[in-house]
Amino acid sequence: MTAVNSSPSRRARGRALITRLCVGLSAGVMVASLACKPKEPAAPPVDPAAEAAAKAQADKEAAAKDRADKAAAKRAELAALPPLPGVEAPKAVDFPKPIVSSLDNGLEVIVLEDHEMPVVDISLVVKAGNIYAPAEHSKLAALTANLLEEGTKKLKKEDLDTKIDATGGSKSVSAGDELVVLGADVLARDADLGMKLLAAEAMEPTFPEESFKKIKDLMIQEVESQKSSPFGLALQMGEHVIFGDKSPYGRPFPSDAEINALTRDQVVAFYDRHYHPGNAMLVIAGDITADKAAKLAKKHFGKWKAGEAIAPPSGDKQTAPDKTVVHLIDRSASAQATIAVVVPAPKIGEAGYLDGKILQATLGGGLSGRLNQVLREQLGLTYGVGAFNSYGYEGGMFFAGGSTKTKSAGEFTEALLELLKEPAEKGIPADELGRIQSKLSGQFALEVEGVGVMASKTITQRTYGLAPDFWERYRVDIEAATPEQLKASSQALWGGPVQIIAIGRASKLKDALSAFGEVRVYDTSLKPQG
Amino acid sequence: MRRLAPLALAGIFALSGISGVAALPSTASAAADLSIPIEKFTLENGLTVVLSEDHSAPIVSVYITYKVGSAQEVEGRTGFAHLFEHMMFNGSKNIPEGAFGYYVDNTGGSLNGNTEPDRTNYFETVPSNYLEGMLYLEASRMDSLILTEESLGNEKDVVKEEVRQQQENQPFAKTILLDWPAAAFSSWAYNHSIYGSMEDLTNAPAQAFIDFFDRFYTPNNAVLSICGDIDPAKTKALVEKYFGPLKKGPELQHSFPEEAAQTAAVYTEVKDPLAPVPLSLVSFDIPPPREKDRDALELLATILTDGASARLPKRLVDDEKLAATVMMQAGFPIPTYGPGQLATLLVASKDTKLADLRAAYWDELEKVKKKGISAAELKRAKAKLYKLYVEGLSKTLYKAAQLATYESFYGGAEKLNGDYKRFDKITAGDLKRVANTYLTQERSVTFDIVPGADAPGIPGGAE
Repeated sequence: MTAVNSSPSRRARGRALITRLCVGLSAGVMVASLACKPKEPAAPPVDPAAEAAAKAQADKEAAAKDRADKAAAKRAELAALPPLPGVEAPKAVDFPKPIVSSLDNGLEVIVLEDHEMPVVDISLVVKAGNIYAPAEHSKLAALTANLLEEGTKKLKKEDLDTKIDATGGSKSVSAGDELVVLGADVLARDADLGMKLLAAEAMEPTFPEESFKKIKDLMIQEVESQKSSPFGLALQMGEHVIFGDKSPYGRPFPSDAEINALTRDQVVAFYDRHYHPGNAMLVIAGDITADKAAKLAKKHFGKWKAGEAIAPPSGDKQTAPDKTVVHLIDRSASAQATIAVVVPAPKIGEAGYLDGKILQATLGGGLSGRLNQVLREQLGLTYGVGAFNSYGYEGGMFFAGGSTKTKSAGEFTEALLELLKEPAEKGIPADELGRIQSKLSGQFALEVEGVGVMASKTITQRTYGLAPDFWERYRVDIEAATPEQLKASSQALWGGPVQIIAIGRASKLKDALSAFGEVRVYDTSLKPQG
Repeated sequence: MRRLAPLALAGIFALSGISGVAALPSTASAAADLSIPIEKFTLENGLTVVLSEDHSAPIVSVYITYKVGSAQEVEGRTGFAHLFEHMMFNGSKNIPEGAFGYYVDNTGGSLNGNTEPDRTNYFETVPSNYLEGMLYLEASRMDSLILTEESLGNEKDVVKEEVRQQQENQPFAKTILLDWPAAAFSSWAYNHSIYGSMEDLTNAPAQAFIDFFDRFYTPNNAVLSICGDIDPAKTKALVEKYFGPLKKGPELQHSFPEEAAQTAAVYTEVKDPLAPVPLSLVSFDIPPPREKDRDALELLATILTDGASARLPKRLVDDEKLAATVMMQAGFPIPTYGPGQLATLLVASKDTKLADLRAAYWDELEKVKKKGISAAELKRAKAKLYKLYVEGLSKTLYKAAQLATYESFYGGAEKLNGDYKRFDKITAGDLKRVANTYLTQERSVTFDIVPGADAPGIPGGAE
């Protein structure tokens, strides 16, 4: 019996037991009657403040229990539903197989044939994304990429644009963390032209001086836009606290001055180092034969001067704070609060990554995910709450969050934390796990529509050096996960401290969020305040 | 694989396929053969059903359009159409609250809905072996949606959060979704908020929602389109099995609101504390979709803004560097099937004043009005519209959505095939004429949205 335990916390536990017994919540009536009649003189008067705090704590615990009970009851109700009528055996899914070859200069050419529609997507993928830029020039990679479209040796920007537009197609360039993608989306009959234009941009850019101000101004505005978006801020802050500002994944927003200081010489040097066949791959997907695609690749990219692959920078990743911290971004005109919880997570290909996918689907997967079931459907606290795991060369991040009215930020955060920690404490029942596994398997099968998703999976496999059969095994590996394994992975994610990110009116949120940990306030440039 | 052989079955508009790339002729207007099979029938209760078979992947999209939107609401009872877009996922006979999403999520598929002034749409894309289940779910909620004070109360809270998140807490959104329609449309039906008044929602009793449901959520007020890996005969039988027993609703007369002709320019400057950059929204009253002048205006918008070589991006972004982005689109941001709006979004480049940007924009419109456009510009825009047509047929959900739209508002689903050719009839003269008729100062509504608060010390963000 706890009451006769001699551990140091005996008194506290004994009192809790007595309280429970005295209000009749236990069958131990005899013990209760004894315990409620102290032999000693009456206990000292109770501190009203302490009593109020105890009551508040008890109310909070009761509310949490009520939430959890209702959520469990709803899950049980849904699990007991009859199957949908008329479900037939699933049909086999034929994923297009990538056909890989290489040009003499080392450029890898990957073709995914899909003759359903008369269109071809061409992507020249170069490992020249933002992580390759030096910390003090964090936008150098993006500036270089954006300038590729501004003119080539033989074609001015105007000519490049006129030629692609005349076909009805379009082209684009984008710079992500790891990769720059030059893309052309054209009718199949225009594949030759699409590839010609991409080759010119990749191989013979002129980086015209008169385009620098335009592109820099656009990049400055892009940073401002990201700062104006609650989600954009949450994501940037998440990576900042998980990876640290010494990692290329955790850099703060660049200043206008930093962007404006970039020079043409720096761009040319960055281009010379990173843009060559050994550091790139050409992915051609759609209504084209592998043979024809290979011939066009050779025709347009065959003369690109060879060069070696560049290894990713070895970043100086710091560990996230060893305690739970609330990172509060003061966005004074906010009409609600945006709350996210982030933790470090395995990156793709590492042990535990697929468990993260299963947990993402369990918690954040659509309307039936645990987070929406409680925070939206049961409590009406949010329009929607989601979860995802992102990753880079240096690791991954599990992100879960949503928005709620400012005055319910505390309640929202508390319920969100409970939901995230629940699988670590109680595990995921086998029947729920089975349902999530078959859902993920079905989701994967749906991605066969349109060749674009398979093209991007192929790029991911090669960028992160995943096993050649990673995607072929994906569904089998997802199905193989066990409840024990999931519980261990959940404990690894949420068993320790977490990082809470809040965006909104700091003056209205600070007190409510201080219950969860130390509150650090930042401005929307993520600079610490006060 | 999509069926390539021509079909000649009654009611099926199946033409030749598109497998051979090289076989495609080199001009857009000659590339007429890209089309999809379309079969159509109506149940006794008035439900119109459109089927399109496509076995390229084991996937099916089920899409229902109900011809009710915010324009059918009455004053004092706003926000109903949009609240239904939420309530329809909240339980019906044999489908308890939460079960709709649970069933669809478990297939690995996706679902959603959206609300417009003239209609509300619901759709799912799932592995094709779940087709019958989707019809069961859709028929159940069309037949017997649960509307109680309790379930409505929770969903009203969710909608209030949605309004805060999507309208109040995003840059530009409040002006674009609330202030702009109020100024651009003259009819109450089109100019009140699709989200509606939160006060109206709070005050409305459950019975008001039940009446709305009984009136508008009926088989004869809906179009069901099913596209993907289906057997048309089997699918028809399944549709009859699940939707056939549903009771016909009241006969509704569908009409679109009339819009008064605008005779003087409207200009408003708004300060938006959330805005990261200055943005100008310039819109014009235009005719309903598919009227000849509307088609000409849509073609003109494509000429002016689609692609970096188009007139406005070339001049405003590249040559004069006044704009960061330019976009011009009919039916944006609020799509209507009656009289509509052609809106231009002009995002100023860094350090540019919106007045200077707008002056250059108007100057370019004046050039079109005086000198017209070139043959090369016309050809390019038609190529863009053909590419758009091809993309619109590339996924089951896109096809299902378009078939529902064509059947509901464009005179029949079968008109989708080859529809891009309607732009071939438009001449350079038409474009000059519509520019002069519609793109005038008198018909324009302009909102300049500039970063900042209305008065110092008074931040936005009222909750």
